[in-house]
Amino acid sequence: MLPEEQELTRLESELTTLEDQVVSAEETLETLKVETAQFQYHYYQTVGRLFAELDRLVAKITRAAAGLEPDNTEAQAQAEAAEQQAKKSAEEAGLSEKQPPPPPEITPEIKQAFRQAAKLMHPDRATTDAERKRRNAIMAKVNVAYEKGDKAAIEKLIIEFGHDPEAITGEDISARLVKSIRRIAQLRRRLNEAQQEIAAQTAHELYELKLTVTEAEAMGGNPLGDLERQLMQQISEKQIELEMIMQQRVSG
Amino acid sequence: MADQLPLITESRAVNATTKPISSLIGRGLSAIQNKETGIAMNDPYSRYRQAAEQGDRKAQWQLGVVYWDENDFEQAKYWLHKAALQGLPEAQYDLSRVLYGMDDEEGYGSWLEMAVENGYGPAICDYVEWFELEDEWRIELFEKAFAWYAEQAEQGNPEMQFDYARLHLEHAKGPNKIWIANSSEGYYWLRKAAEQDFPKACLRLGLELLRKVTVNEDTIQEAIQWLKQGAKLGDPYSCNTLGDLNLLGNIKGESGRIVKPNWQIAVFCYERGIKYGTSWDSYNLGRLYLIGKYLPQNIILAEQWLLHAAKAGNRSAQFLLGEEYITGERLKQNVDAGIHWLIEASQSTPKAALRLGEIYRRGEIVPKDVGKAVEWFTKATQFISSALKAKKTLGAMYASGELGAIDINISSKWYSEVVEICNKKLNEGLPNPSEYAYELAELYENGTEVRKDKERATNLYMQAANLKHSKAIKRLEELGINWKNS
Repeated sequence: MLPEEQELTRLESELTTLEDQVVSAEETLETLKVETAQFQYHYYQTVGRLFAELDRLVAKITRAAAGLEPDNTEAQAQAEAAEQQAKKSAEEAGLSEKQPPPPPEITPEIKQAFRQAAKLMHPDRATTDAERKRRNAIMAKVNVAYEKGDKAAIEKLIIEFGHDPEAITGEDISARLVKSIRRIAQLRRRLNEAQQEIAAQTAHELYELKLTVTEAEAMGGNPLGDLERQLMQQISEKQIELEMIMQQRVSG
Repeated sequence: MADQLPLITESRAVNATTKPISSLIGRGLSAIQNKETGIAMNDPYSRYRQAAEQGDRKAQWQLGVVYWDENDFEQAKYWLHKAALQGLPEAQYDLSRVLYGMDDEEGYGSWLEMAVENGYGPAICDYVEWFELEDEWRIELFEKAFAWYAEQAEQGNPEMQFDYARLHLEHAKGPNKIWIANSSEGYYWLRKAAEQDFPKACLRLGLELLRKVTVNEDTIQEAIQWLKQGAKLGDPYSCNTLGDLNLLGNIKGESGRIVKPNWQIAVFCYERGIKYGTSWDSYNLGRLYLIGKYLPQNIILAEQWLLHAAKAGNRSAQFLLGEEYITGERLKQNVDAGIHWLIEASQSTPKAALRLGEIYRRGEIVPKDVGKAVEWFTKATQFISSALKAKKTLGAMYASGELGAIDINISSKWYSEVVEICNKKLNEGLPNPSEYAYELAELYENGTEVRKDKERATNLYMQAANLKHSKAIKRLEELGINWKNS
């Protein structure tokens, strides 16, 4: 075997390993995104809206209390701040606008389909600009289908994509060498990007919350349920407080 | 009023603040992390196991009781049996109860008798209650039980004091009256146990005081103090009784107003009850918020408390949530969620299965699916309370051809079961068989599965109408029959 051929074999095997790594990293990233979104939806639907309800009541109480002392500027400022907070919380919990539907559950079959699609049509495997654009567009569709949990759509896209003309070999060794080297560089960049994105996702507060909840649940706890109960009790208390202030206002 | 609110002295872990701390995510995170610190697990088994294995009969009994609490009956039986063989009367008694739960009647009887022979008070009480005995023997046993409990109560154990007090109170008057029981003695021991902070005694004492024939302000205040003490000690029933008292002005099911209602205090009490109690307590509060009759309606809280109960497996909460989500009259309509909770509830709520059947049959809020409708109605036939309606509906569905083709055989099978149930129930001498009379009347009127018989139908309608069955009354009026004078 010629030294060039030996080098090519080595590079092509490195290429295969890298391709696997990139696909894995992207799958991890996509799954992370979907699962976190799912958790976030559930969280806002339960705990989030209770926080918002609590803030709404606190705002009403502070405003009512400020109404009892019209000359107290500090009380007025507090009421303003409480109303701002209530507005912010309501927006964050999605109470002020229509809720998006809950994200789907990602099954192993969908993951499998996504892996197959990503491997086949990844833009980094294109060597011409036109081909890269075509792949970029189709890969975007795959990502959308994955986020919707739509396995059939992914499979359809795979068929549409057809056989990859880029996979056809038959050029001379030196050209293939250059191609491999470029491709490895591309893949390394892509891997790096995916890993950075994963790190960014997991550094987020939401991820930490999800992790804490999952761990507590594994130990037999129900942290979100407990928190919900606590919040409901607080809301009742605030409701009562508000009622009392209102009565005070009427009688005063 | 502030002095009436000692029930909320506990500090809250989550802070509602007007200062924006961070996002809702961050607030949840810090609340949960604060709470999760310091989780300690202790293993109740290891405490007794070693001694039990070395043959210590008390440890064997206690280990058996721990397993019993965990619903591990085989292990409970194993250890209790070991202790019972060593002559420990409490183990013999507990073993008899475990065996009763395992449908071993013979074992139950013989171990219970053994414990009675050994003079164990609770065993004697059970024995007297469950077995037909000659009066003389019965009174002799009672005297033995009273003596046993008196001795235990004197030793200062509040649980025994409470049981002794109960024994006195339950047998001081009424059909179970026996000479040895005495209600003042009952109150005396109830108070002793309550003073030792025994929650059940606090509750019972509070209730007994409220139910006294002549209630004055002092008695009421004392009763409330005891109930508050029970609540403070974590007894959910005390919390709920206080809640009812503050919400309605009296205890549930009693008439007359004892205190001035105050829904705010009631909510505090109920919430405290939820903390110590079961999913029924959250269901009740959720329903109160939903209906908004005794306290201001709050849909968000109603939904969350009902979800709280439903997630804990409370079938009534699941059914109510299902209905509310489907109709959308009070909670925001959410058909998927509604169907989900009805399916959950249908595991042991006949109404839920019927409702699901109707929903799929009508196809108003979900796509019509007669196959699913048949499935749900068939499921509903398995419950006694929904069987009649489900079978009749199935009979009608197969007869009408709404399933694609008319199948008289299957239809007739369901109708004949309806006739069978109705005839059986009407012969059983139920206090109110109006439903069965009405359903059968309809079949006779239309000649479905039975020979058409106008007279029989009218008679059955009248039977139902006399029991105030509204549909029967309506039908008779439509037929122009003056049933009141008949």
